[in-house]
Amino acid sequence: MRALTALVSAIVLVALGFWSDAQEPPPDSFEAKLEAIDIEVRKQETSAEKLEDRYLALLEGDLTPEQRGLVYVHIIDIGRYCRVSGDVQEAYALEALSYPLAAVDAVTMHAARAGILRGRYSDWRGERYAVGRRRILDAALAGLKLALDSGAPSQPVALPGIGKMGRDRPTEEQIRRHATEVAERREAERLQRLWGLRRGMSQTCAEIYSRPPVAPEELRARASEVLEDYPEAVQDIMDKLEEILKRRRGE
Amino acid sequence: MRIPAMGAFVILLAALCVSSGAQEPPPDSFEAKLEAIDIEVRKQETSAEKLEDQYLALLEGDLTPEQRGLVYVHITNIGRYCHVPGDVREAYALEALSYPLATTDALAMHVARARILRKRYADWRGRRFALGRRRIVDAALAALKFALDNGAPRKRVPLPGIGRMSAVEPSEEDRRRHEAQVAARGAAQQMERLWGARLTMTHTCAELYSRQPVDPEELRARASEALKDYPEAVQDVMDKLEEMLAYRRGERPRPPAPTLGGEE
Repeated sequence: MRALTALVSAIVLVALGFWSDAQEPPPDSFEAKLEAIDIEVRKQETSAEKLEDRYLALLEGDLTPEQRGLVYVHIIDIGRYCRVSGDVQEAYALEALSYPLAAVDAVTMHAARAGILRGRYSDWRGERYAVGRRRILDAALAGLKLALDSGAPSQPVALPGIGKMGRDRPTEEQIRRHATEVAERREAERLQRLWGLRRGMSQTCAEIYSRPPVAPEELRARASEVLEDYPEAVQDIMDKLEEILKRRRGE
Repeated sequence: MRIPAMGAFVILLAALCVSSGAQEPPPDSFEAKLEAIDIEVRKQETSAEKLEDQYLALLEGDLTPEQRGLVYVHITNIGRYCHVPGDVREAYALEALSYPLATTDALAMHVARARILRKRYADWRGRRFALGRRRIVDAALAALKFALDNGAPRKRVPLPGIGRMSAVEPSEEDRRRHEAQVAARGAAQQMERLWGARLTMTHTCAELYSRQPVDPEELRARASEALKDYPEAVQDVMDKLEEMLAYRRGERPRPPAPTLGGEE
């Protein structure tokens, strides 16, 4: 009886593995190694320097430019779990951006850079802050433009469900429909992330210009120049700024 | 006797002022205000923040883009006399570069930026340093390209002298010759700065890549891309790297670091 159960379990596991959309990458592959380090990062048990070294060790392999860029994207992510200095993070973000990246990753790098600069200049005041703020804005607008060029929607995207597929001999039609649903879901997830990044960077632009010296004209001019094909996105930033200023005035 | 002597002295002073190539700007002018703060900076008696505020106050006036750019150049230069954090200097240097600047000022901002980044990443080691080094070399190569685009010579240019001009009633011909000599000297001084920046930035690129992890191929690739119209300058960088590596291998004395830079 036990042997039969084991056999059935094995068959189910094989079937699950076979029909799963997210097939496990081979353990020696680049993807598997990257994922292994990602898991370490999330555990927060290893120092940031050691994690950085482990990611960097991947670069010694024979990688494509896309894979190299991805390594740097993942190194930036260490900063979400452990303390990493802004200078280090910025250097990695710029390095990642020198490689061909997926649009979402590239936008994320621009957003990370804007966040790093924002942290760097957060204590500055007056005209000095106005100078630093232009650097933050340049980074945020570069990310925003890339997000818009990549189809970032202005509203959140509903994520379509993926129907269950019979594991026992699914038909060709079922497999095709399932694959289409998975692809649609992934595209919706991509757009959802772009929407989030668009919203975040619009908010950043508005917030940094709501601080004194408040300069809506400068913000509008710079945003209109960079986002000349996206007047709606420019207006969205200006509306956000107005909203923040109203809140500050107690309106 | 004393009064005629005094009169002659006053006439001489007036003549000197008239004949001088560098006339004093009116005291309320932008140039005079800028110069007054520059003097404060050189005295090193006022805090960097106060000096910065004084310069920034100039921006409240009705300035041309060139003048605004010049204010940021001067703020960046405070760091040559007092301690100013690299982040602050970098932000001002980048701000200055967003305005139309005189060649030597733009050059100084590019060079300043490369130096700031070099300092920022000075303590980094290994693969992380290799990464920071790319940012420094990008800035240094941008400075080098700017210098080359503006005719930076490979060899130092001798500075022509300016002959004496009679202070009392100089002839038109004297005056013209003097002005031409002053202009030639000014042009040669600009060439000297460009040469200095070329020399310094070449040295910076080579020195960076002589540090671990040594990577001549990457340096050649980046330099060739940034300086694609200047193969001779790329070769100079590579030759300098070879000199540095020979020094590190103990095969030759340390190559002297250039003392002249575009920032000076």
